[in-house]
Amino acid sequence: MTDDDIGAEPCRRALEVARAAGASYADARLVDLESEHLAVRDGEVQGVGQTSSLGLGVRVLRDGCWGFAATGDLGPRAAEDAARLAVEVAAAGRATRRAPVRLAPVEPVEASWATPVVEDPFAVALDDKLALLVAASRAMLEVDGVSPAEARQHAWRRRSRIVSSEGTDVAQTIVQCGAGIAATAVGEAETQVRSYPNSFGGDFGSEGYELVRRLDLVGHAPRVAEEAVELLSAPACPAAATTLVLDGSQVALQVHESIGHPVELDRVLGMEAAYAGTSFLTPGDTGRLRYGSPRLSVLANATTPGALGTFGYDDEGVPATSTPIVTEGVFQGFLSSRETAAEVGLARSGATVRAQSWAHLPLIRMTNVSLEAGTAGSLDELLDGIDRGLYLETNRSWSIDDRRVDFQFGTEWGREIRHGRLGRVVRNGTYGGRTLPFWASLDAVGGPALWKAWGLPNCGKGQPGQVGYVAHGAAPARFLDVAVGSTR
Amino acid sequence: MREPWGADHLHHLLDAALGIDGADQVEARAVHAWGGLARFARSTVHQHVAGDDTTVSVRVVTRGRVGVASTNEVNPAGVAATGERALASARLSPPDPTFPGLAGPAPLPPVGPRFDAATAAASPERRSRAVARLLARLGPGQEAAGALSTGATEVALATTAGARLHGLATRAAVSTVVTGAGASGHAEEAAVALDALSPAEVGARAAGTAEAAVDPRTPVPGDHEVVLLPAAVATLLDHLAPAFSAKTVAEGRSPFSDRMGEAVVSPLLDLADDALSEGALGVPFDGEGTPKVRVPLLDGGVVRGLVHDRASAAAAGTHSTGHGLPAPNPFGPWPSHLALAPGATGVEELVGGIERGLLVTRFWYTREVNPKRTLLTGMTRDGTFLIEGGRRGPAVRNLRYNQSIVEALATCDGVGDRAATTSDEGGHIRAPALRLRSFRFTSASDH
Repeated sequence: MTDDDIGAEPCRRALEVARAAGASYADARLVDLESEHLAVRDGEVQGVGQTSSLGLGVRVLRDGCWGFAATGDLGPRAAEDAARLAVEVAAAGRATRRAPVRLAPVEPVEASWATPVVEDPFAVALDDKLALLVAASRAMLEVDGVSPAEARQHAWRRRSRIVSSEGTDVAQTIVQCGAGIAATAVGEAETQVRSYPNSFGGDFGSEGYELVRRLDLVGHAPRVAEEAVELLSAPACPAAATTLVLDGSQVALQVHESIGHPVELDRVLGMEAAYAGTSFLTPGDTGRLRYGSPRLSVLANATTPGALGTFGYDDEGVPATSTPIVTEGVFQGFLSSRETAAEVGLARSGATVRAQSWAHLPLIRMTNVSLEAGTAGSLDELLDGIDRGLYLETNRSWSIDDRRVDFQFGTEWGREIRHGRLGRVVRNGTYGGRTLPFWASLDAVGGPALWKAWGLPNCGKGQPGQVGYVAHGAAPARFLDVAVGSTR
Repeated sequence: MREPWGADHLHHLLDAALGIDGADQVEARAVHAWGGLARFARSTVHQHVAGDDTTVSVRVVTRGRVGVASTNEVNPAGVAATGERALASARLSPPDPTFPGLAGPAPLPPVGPRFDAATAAASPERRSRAVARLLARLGPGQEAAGALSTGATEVALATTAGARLHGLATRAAVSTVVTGAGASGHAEEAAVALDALSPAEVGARAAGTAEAAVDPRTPVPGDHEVVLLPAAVATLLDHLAPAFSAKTVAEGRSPFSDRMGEAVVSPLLDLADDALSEGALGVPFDGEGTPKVRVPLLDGGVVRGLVHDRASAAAAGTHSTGHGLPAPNPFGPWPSHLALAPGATGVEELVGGIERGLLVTRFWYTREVNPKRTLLTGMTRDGTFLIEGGRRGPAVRNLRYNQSIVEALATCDGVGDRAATTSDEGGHIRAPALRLRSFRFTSASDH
């Protein structure tokens, strides 16, 4: 432990009370969250928001049932009250209990971990951060036909202490930040948006403000704005079955929706059936199911430096690890928790369990579920040999069925491919398909020079709903015989 | 804490922010929320949570500059410190020439009961027993997943311009997906009081749909006549909501930009945002302290109104309708209590008017493909049936749709006689079933 670590005393007190009230297992998480959200629109500051939230979440097992209680009121009796309420909640589970919850074993650990940060995003002067966003927004506004021109930056710091009745005691500080710009062009019948470096807020990582500086938002602003306007007069994406090349950010979202979610073991076991949905996978598919072409290899690696889904320990106190998901096209393993691992007979948890805050029950969440780099050295190499095809970049919409099979994605920017080169721009590019045939059509993946981890800070799951911070390493990739432009 | 703190206590807390030195204007808002949610799957409660929290957010204006900060350290010192943080960030921010000022005093509109003490105090045992009643209605071989929640919210807001508001609300909700023999059915209810819910009836309804949905056929994609049940209609309305935001309209991003007073959908459709109606949930003022107003949006298919917050109202030279989100809010006003007026036609009669078509229980994973056209894509889920010869026929596998909401609603020729509530933490929608003469499905799923 270090002097900066958040104190363990409320956690220890909660565990004492929970055990005395009949809990066979308990863990307590004290979490101190800080966040900062900056928004600039059309060159003016739209919002400066700073939040802080400190609270305690207590999770217990009693009579084989889970109970969870959380409080943001850290008064003198808060830990005791939360622990008693958690046990009361667990006791209420007897009315519908079927089989008692069992947990895969974990070696208790006492440890401290922190995100390596070069430049603390909360220590950078606010006016400097805003000036960068204002400059990027104004650079977009200089292009005729653009409004609104938006620039945003977000930062989070999560200090936590997790103590369990099995002896685990982990202190952790995770720092994350990111930023992005978006230019909107409004036409008679169309609204077109162009974003950088990604849509829905930009790109994010477990890093400091160095990530934001590296993005060069101002430098990219004119191109982004010009492309938004250009899209208004571009022809619509034609409907066809064709060779499709996706940029890395869209590949990342494709991995998220059609690999990351279906391999969550709680979904596979039906625990998310009412809300997030289930999965087409079954526990028996491990090592047998062909998920895609031999070019498809996917790893869930919670230790990828700088990636948004990186941590030291999950919210069950299990050390971060790397789990093969797909190897050369063959399905290898799930994202798991202590509970789900025990249920399907895995020796240990895959260390993926996290909660949005102290107020939320920890759930299986993606970590950094990444498509491994291929061999294509450049985008030109991926385009080479394509007589007619389509290149699509930056997600605009996404939809997939509740078993993660039938999907349709829309993108911001499209280019026809003709004779191995990018051709004219097309608007409203979409593509769709089914998960396994689509990944079977994976023909080539960009190499290490094109690979990067894309952070997604908006993965929704659970009831009450909570947001997960995940990432997907990806590179541009080529797919054969894909249905594009199938919307009306 | 399972009971309210009261207006006096919360306003005393907020006063600690209102009194900070160096601010021209201050708004302080406290949200005290508590409750629990029993989540079930595989016919057992597997994730049951309870908790409480109070958050105070402070918006400070100084020389035209605005800063916002929030905390859950709810004592006068913590609230005052949060006000100081907001002031510090305001001082470092450029002036916001569009800032419209803070809300002043205004009387709250009369509304029906919004708070039920028994729901606010509901125990974990009570939630579990309610789930057990739902599970008891499943048929052989069926399993259920879903959630039953009870929650209370106490909101207080004060501004240096004189607003001083306090409101209490409870919300109880139950929803389930029942599965069996490869089929599924869905049902849900929401109300101010837990006692007003019928978990057993919700379970029976979902179980009945799941039983009817076995052995689905493979449907043929294309343009179909459809009857959409209320949950499916609610999804379309939810995605139509931003089209009625005055900010979206002013920026030209709404399909109704420059179409005020024009007929845009079927003359059978009357849509309002109505947070004041009987059965509506939530407190009767918005995140900026403006009392909520009922806003007619579509009257006989004609665009009649838009929702405003203080910023959009100032820009348009009108008054806020009480649809502002808490600061900081880059999104603009939002209609969170959409209500589509019921008609006079029962669902069976709606179905009876279709020779061959589809009956859709609900949609899933709906996303905008082209916002200006209100073109959406998504899947059907939990009970999709053929309509043959004016009767509900066999089930079909789920379909993906790509359809403009406005274009679909223009083909509406039948409105159901009973509205149902679809609710989440963000708001709720009341909608009846609709018959639409054209709805485009582009592919069929394998389940």
